[in-house]
Amino acid sequence: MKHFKRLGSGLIYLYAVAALLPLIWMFLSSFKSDGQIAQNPLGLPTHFDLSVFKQSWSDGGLGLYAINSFIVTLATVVIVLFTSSMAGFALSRLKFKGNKLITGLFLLGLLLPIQAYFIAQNQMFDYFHLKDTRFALIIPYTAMGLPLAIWLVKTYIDSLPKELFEAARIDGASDLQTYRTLMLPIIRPALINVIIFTALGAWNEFLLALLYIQNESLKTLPAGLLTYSSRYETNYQLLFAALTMVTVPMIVLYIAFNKQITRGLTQGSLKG
Amino acid sequence: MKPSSKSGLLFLLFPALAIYLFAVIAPFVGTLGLSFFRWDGYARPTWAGLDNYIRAFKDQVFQSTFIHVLIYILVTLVVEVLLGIILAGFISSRKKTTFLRISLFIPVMLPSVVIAVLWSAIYNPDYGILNSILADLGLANLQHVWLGDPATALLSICFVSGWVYSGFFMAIFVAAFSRLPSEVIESAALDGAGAYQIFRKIKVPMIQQSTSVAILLCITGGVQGFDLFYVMTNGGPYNTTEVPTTYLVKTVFANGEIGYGSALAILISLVGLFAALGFRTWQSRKQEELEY
Amino acid sequence: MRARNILICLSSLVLTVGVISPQLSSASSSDKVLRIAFGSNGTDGKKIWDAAAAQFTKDNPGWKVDFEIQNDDLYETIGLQNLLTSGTAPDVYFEWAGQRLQNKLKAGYAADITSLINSSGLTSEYTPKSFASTTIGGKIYMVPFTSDVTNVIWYNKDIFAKYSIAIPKTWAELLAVSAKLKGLGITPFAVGNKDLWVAGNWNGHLLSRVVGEKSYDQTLSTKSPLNSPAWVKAMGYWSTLQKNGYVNKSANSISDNQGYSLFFTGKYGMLPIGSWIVGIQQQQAPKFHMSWFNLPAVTGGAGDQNSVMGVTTGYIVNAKSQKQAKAVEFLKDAFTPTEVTAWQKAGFTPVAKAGASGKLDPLSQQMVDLLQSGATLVAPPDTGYTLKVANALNTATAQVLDGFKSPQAALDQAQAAVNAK
Repeated sequence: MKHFKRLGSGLIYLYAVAALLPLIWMFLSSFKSDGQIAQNPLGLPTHFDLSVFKQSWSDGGLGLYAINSFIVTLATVVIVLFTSSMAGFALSRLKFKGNKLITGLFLLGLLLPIQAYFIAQNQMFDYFHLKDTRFALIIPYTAMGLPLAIWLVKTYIDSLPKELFEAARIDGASDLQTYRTLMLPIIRPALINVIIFTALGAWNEFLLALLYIQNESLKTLPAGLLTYSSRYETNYQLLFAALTMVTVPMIVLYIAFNKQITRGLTQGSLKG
Repeated sequence: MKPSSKSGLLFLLFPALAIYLFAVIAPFVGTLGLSFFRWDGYARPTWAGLDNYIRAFKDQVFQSTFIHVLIYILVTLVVEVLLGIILAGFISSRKKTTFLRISLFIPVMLPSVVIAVLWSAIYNPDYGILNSILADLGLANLQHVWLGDPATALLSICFVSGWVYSGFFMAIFVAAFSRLPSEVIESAALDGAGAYQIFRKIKVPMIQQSTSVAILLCITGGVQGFDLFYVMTNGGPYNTTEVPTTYLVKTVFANGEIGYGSALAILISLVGLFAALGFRTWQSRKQEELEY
Repeated sequence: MRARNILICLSSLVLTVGVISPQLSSASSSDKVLRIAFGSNGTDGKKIWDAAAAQFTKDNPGWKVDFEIQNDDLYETIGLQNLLTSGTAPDVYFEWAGQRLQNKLKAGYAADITSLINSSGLTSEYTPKSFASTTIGGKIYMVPFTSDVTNVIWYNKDIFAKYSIAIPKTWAELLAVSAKLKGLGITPFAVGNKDLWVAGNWNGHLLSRVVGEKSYDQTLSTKSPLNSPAWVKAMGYWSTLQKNGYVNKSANSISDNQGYSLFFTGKYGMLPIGSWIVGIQQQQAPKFHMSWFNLPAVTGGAGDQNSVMGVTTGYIVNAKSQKQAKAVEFLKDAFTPTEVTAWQKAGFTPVAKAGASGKLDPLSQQMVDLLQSGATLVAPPDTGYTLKVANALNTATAQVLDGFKSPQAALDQAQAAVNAK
């Protein structure tokens, strides 16, 4: 029994280390020259020159892509937070004709794959001259994030006691006032999950980022990385430096917030 | 309770509804409509009736994309869900798991482009470390052009997906296991059941709901799969790793066949919807049987 | 509470500014900004464009020139289309002569600049013959930029010298050279065919030599089937390369750039690619010794065995632009004799006349001479014909290159793809 446990323990640690190997290799290779990478792929780097990171940030335009991603993600998260919490509150607590219909409409968004609408969406954005602007991404990312966000907010509010709201109503508060003063603070846990899902989705989204923005100065990280990787694809050191620079902050962020992030993602998926 | 004022209700609902209708519902209807036309994006669209759909049914490349996606889903079910459960089983019976949980979950957070570019470098037939390691281990005859050989390309991409998401599913199952009532497990242990037996006969069946959700995610995620395939092989070599979405993007954006692409898009969405609903129905029916 | 409110206000401010500012700087089409769009020309090329922009803004105070430079492959497919339909469409954009220029004309994006180029003085920078490939129906629609040879066989001079390998003059001799190299442990050809056009162009040229230019043109214009017996037989020439293992196994999974890198490692004998490799070699592998020979003659082939595969590139003025005169003026500034000399130095083969000190480096000069040698010009599949047919043929080429399909099966599939309506 004990041996089984120990063997299992050893195996799983071995597995975890092996799973990390590609990332470790990527990190170490940014310190090796192209020649070293090609001839001695598994060797350790000889010096640790940090200038290659600066080079990929400024010359390669990585800095620009990161800023674009940041702006688009921030805008999307803020808009989703406000619109989804308002709609979620209304759909959960207010009785009106069409409540079921609208709720169903949003839930449809959870099932509807992006293929079903991005072609016509592309043509529409052409027509409204939205292409090659940040709105070309913010609008779809918001719309795509709304179903899950509204669902998260709504189910959370559903689980709160009715008396809470009825008390506010008796006190004479309008719905908007109730939303602002009573609701927002209470649904913080659901909002945190909304932030996590929306931010992750917007930051990593690739298909629309690739298709809707060709202007180099507006590209977000995923699309920009693709351009970067094809421009420097034979310059392995620069390539790995760029990948490392994108990866390390996300790993640090994740380690710092890992409890909330993991909990949010797994809970959200389980309930879905 | 009834809304306090009509305008208040409107204010609360309108923004979300407006954005959603504009960017999701309207384009969905639009794609449906476009699927009945022939259009290159420049000249005026011409009516095509059901021609696009008929062509889709005769399109062998399109049909092959579903086969590729089926293989992808099956492989990921095993590598991601099955392995995820096993890993979760090991982890949930342990105390100090932070390092394991974090290290296995990291790839989930990274943009798919990073993963695709990194693994393309690993798989590179001339400079990548996979072939280098094989050579160093004296297994040079196992070297392949991983992403260029039709025999290995699809599985190579599936493997990468597994590398990323096994940690995700592991986390889901760890959470599910942790919510199991400890009394059942403890009483089984007292009855003399070994760790493995407890795992197989008690823990796994009890998280059945999470397992279903995981399988569902695999199916829907698989049908929509795009990023890794586009960046690593773009459906190549010669369509042997083509998946529905990469073929769709090629049809619309490289060949400029918007009407045909729309028909493909509708068909892909229908397949995804049916697969998800079909699985749900089968699963709830199975559950009913269990309950008898 | 307060801190959170401040944070919310700050974020809203940041995102408002961040979102709005690009909108503000890319205003309507009646402003004084000239927009030029093209795929990457490298850092040297960018300097030349900047010089032209400087000259233009000097002559036109208050004006600005905006360059929209994109990734080549994206530009060719979605990139340009997106730009043309966006609110900040380019006034001038890069294109290839041939089918693509015709498509732009049909779609209403190519302006007739015949009178403008005369009145602006641009014609003095060219010879009259230069506009032959950019004239349609007597009107000029494109200012020529470069004449590119699309495909010849480049070879590693050191390897050929070391083993006393003579330049092959026939296809059979080329196969013999390949066999010799293979026997020496050197892979004869380095090809990066992930995007299908590298091998596609090479085989396209070979096919035209075997079946003749007329059949090539008719078949690629879909007037004749791809899987005709003559074509299947012609594809057999291509499959000998695969049967004997003369091309790197990784060909279909590595990109064109990666293919060039392989060649520059010195471990490969030959590289089938176009004239642009000269500039790349000077940048990436300055000490590398290479030279070239045109595709060797196919004994008994129906085509002109001296034919050259090439294409003219150039800049189209957007018919929907309100600044067409300024656009032509800018192009005049970009192709003055001094600029042209600079283009030559950067490894390009410009059509416009170079200054007195203008001298192409020997290899590029040879490319230009080849183009002007009077031999028949064969258009590459993807610029001379529709993408649909080009993709179908190039896919077949890739499949036969790997031995994945036989010539008959591959061409059958290609024809089926072309037939699909």
